[in-house]
Amino acid sequence: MNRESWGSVVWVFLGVLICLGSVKLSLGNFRNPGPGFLPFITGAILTGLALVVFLQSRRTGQGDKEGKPFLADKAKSLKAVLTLIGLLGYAVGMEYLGFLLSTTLFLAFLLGVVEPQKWYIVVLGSILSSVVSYTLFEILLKSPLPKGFFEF
Amino acid sequence: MDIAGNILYGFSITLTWSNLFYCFAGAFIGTLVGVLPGLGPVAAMSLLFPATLHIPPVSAIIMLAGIYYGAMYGGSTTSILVNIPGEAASVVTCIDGYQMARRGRAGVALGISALGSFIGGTLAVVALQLVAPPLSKIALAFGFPEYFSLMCCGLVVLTFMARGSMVKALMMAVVGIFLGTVGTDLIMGTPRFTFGIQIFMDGLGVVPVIMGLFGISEVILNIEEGVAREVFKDKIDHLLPNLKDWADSIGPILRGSLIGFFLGILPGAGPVVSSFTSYATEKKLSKHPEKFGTGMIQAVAGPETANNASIGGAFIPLMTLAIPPTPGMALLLGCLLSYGVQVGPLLLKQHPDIFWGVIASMYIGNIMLLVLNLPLIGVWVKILKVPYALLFPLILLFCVIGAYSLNNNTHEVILMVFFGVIGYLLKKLEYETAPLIMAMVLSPLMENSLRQSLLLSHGSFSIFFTRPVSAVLMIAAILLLILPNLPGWKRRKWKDLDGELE
Repeated sequence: MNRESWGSVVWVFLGVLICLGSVKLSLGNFRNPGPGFLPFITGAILTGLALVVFLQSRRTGQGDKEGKPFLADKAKSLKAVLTLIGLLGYAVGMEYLGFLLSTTLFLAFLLGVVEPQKWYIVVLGSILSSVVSYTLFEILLKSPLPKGFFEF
Repeated sequence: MDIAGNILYGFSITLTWSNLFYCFAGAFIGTLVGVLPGLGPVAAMSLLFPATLHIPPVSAIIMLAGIYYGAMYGGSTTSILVNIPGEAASVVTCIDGYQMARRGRAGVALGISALGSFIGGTLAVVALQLVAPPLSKIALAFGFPEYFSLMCCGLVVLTFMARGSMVKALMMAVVGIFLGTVGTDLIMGTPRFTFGIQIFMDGLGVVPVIMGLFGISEVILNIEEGVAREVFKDKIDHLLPNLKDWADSIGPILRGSLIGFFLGILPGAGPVVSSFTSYATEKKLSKHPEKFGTGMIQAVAGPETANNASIGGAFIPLMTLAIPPTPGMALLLGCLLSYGVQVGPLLLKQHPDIFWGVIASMYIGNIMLLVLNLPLIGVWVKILKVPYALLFPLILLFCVIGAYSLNNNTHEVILMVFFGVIGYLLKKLEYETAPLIMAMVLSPLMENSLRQSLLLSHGSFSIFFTRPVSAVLMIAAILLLILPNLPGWKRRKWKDLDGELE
């Protein structure tokens, strides 16, 4: 199976899950549609359309011979994965470490590990960007940012 | 009040120091995101949305709209000087714009882009102010069935205009409708697909979803595929086109204004399709189509005018029917709803300040953009030279701050990252995300209209076919779904046009 077929299998699976979830919510009837009515219709249509894409991809072999590979190259894809991991870590960590510390660490990670720069750019860039964005959003725009354990 | 009176009222709202500031901020940020590849206007609008929650809705919309049309001006700079489109609507400008720059005519290419954008943008605003009020009056007669049929028709047109597979675009629209149903059911109060997570009770936030699909996923793709930029090094001068340039460009500019305005009204067409159509039209009308691709000024003037004019057109369905034809307009609709503003035919009656204020601000914004983009071109060229490796951490940082500021919690940030991954996968599998966003925004209105219509008709779907307006819209939607599947029917895919352009 090619990537197009695998993609459509995932959609079929999701469509069926939506239908099952909608039935649990109560579909109601045409006179008085329930909360699961529209989600059920979307799940059913999604399943049907995904089956069409699946059949099309099996019949025409679409997705087999596209010039572009799914991942650009291993080293660059690793950078993308590292960025996503860093983002998730930042999102979870900022509540505990506070905005200033977590942002400095996150930017240092991106500038030092994902797209390595000279050490002074990493240090200055991450600290300055954190302080400037904190001043802009927390102090000037009064948009509260997470304080964390250290209260800053 | 007549049109002139209304527009004067609009200027009285826009010409205050605070609104002029927001208009300038929008135009400036729009040009900036247009210039920088990797951050589109929709992502920029969504990350600035939380900062607008504390200002009056009219000021917020003036600024967000400024970002949207400002990006169309800025996008051409990158296309002409770097041969990389700053945003999708400037793709075609690369072809002849960059060739003009290589022949020492970078200044003229930038000049005609900015002037064409100004003329197209201004003419579209004139047309918007003339067309929107009568259309609002017609839309006032719409009931639930008409609204449901209109939204169905809009979504089908959107998928019909998709650049890739129509089936995939339909799937995205369906997923969008489903995502819009997540949260507490408005009629029965039942939580739907919330998995016990508190922030899902009010529904999935449009802003973190947009930031994920359009901002984070774009950055991840750029990191993976690399953004190589070589900025044009020669001195940029002679920004003003000469008489011959004007003679060559005036036709494309006027045609681009018409094409952009009318395609802008259609769901899904927006600035990208407008610019492509204008390019194809100019090539077809030209006495020397073989010279297209070698630096023809017509191929820069037409598309750049069309992408700006389409923004004015796109405001018509948004302001009169609450139907957003592009993701940017979907975001504006989401913002207006979150400010508590009822969008649709009543907008003109209930919030004339927003309606006429935004229209007047677009006149002023276009003048500001002309000033920002011509004399200050050197500043934008300097910004273009900042390497992407230093830029992407800042883009991600602003996305995170934007998502966090929505409700001051990290769940929104995690939601944004999640949709960033989804957007990345969807783009890899060649699924378009625009129908998803538009359907997600329309979903609550669509569900309400469907359920109310069925209550009215005692469960009969014939209500959508017995009322004339609704029937016409439904039949149009059905025809658009059937036509591409008829034997012998060949839907012109935008991909084919891409191929032609290459």
